Amino acid sequence: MMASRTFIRRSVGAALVVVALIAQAHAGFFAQELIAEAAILAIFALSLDLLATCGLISFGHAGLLGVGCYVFAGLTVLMGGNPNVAFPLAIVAGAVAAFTVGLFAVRTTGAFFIMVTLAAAEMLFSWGYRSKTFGGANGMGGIPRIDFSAIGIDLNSPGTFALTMIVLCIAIWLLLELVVSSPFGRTLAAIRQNPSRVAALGGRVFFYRLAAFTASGALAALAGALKVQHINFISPELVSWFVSGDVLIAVVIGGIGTLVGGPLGAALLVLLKEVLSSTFGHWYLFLGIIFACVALLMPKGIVGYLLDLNDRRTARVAAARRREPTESSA
Amino acid sequence: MLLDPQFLAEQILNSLQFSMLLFLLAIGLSVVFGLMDYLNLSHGTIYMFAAYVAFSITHLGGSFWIALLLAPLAAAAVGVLLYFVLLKRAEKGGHLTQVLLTVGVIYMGTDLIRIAYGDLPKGVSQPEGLSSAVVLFGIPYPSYRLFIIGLGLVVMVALYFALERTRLGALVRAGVDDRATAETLGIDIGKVFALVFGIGTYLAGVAGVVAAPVFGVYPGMDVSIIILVLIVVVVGGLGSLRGVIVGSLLIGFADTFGKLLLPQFAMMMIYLVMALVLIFRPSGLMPARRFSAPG
Repeated sequence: MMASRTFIRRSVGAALVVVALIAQAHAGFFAQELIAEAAILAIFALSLDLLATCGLISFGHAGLLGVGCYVFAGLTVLMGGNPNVAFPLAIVAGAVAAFTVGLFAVRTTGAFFIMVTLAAAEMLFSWGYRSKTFGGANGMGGIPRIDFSAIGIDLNSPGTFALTMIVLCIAIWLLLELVVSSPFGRTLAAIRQNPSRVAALGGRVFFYRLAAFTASGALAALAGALKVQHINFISPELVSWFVSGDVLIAVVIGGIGTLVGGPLGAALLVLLKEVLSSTFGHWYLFLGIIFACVALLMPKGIVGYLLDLNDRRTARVAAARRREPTESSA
Repeated sequence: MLLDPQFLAEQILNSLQFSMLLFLLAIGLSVVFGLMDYLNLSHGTIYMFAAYVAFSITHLGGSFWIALLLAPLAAAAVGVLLYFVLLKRAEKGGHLTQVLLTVGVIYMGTDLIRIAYGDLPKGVSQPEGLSSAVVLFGIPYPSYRLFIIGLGLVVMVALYFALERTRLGALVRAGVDDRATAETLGIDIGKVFALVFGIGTYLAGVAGVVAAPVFGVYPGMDVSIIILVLIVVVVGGLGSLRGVIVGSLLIGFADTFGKLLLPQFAMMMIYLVMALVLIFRPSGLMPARRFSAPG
């Protein structure tokens, strides 16, 4: 009757998958667009949470997303490349960019890591803002989607695209579940809890952090390459720190370090913005109130809150069991 | 271009003026960050609030000097209220909870300002008597901007003496240095912090008022400056006055001369400076705590 933390996390994930698939099956044109948006933000959130596994919080993840955006758009629109080839190349570019930035960035932690990643992302933003090749601040359109027509999948249909994004998000979530329970993932968690102790035990903290950052960069670039395919458009706004803030907020609302929290927060954030902006004129006021409420009432996010509830119940049950023998002997 | 001494002098004055604004905003954030490890992104909201109060006062016929007297007090009052009602509750929640909460405050503040004043930028005119230019080093320079530089220098000196020579300053330094030990010695860091928070938001209010005639008053002015202020804090090192002074000068000059020399990459210059500083000095140039454990 006592559920493990992993069981609870995965149950929330399963429930989210079911809700997403049911919603997708019944959604109209506009809702399909929202679902695709949420699923891509969910993948982006997963990439941020993978990094958080080793205790690093990035405030410049939009930069890595942006590498995926710009490489995919550049290869397809400017160089006329095949989107099916450009997609994996964009992911590799994200990994390379993250590795390069990571060589410097992962030496810092905490607020300083936050600022270094922000700096790196803002440099890409200011380049994109001025870049005539990519249309500068006005952006550039005409970005094609991956062509799966050979196997009978038309990604230009909104429903198919949304469903594909959900499936991809599920696949990445399951992959990351495997990663965090592997020896590699356990080491990352150990580094989060106590980097000095891992180092004392001979763990190479720097290399593990760099590996996590690189993997996270590849995933963020993947999300970026999907993002520009979804909106068929690229602009420096995709790299701005508001995007980094949005994904960070999605992860914090869902519950950082829980993997499933990111997609949950992403879905809620997209839904919330849509509902609020179509209901109220000054909807940022309400969004702000909701953020403040989450921060004060569930500081560990929704999934974190559920896990804490479970931990407390487990502790109560264990305490009751310890009392039992003495009561029966009395 | 830079070889022309007059032009160079003008740009140096511009840099100094911007540095002083950054300094006024950053000192509160830095001490709050250093003392309580609190990442308060809504510091800029107080700055925006003060600028709008200044707009209202001058719009209703009050003089700029009355605005400079009253608006920072209003800012400090709102700041302290905000702290006790909302921010204090996330004190032990860690940086991420604080980010979520204070981003929430930013959103609320921006929309409340929009509801009260609308979306369009407003202007605040320069105070009479400082609207003309004075000739300095053979060049005409706006006297209002010289006033900002002077004000910044006065605040710097005042804060230096307050931190180094007064009892409260000693308490603040003790708290930043080692909070646990300071509390063991019977210092109520919570009270010190509330006072520091009040002074910090007061200075953010001063920055808002003096910035209003230069940059105008608009919703979102808080967000556009807060990143620069955070960079100043991080480059300088948390919680130290000298760090904030060095950081704001560095970023103020990097911004002005970056726009001048590499207009294509003006923003990049600032981030490049920050990245370089953090690569070689991961805790900033002059952190108050030299042997702090990485967080």
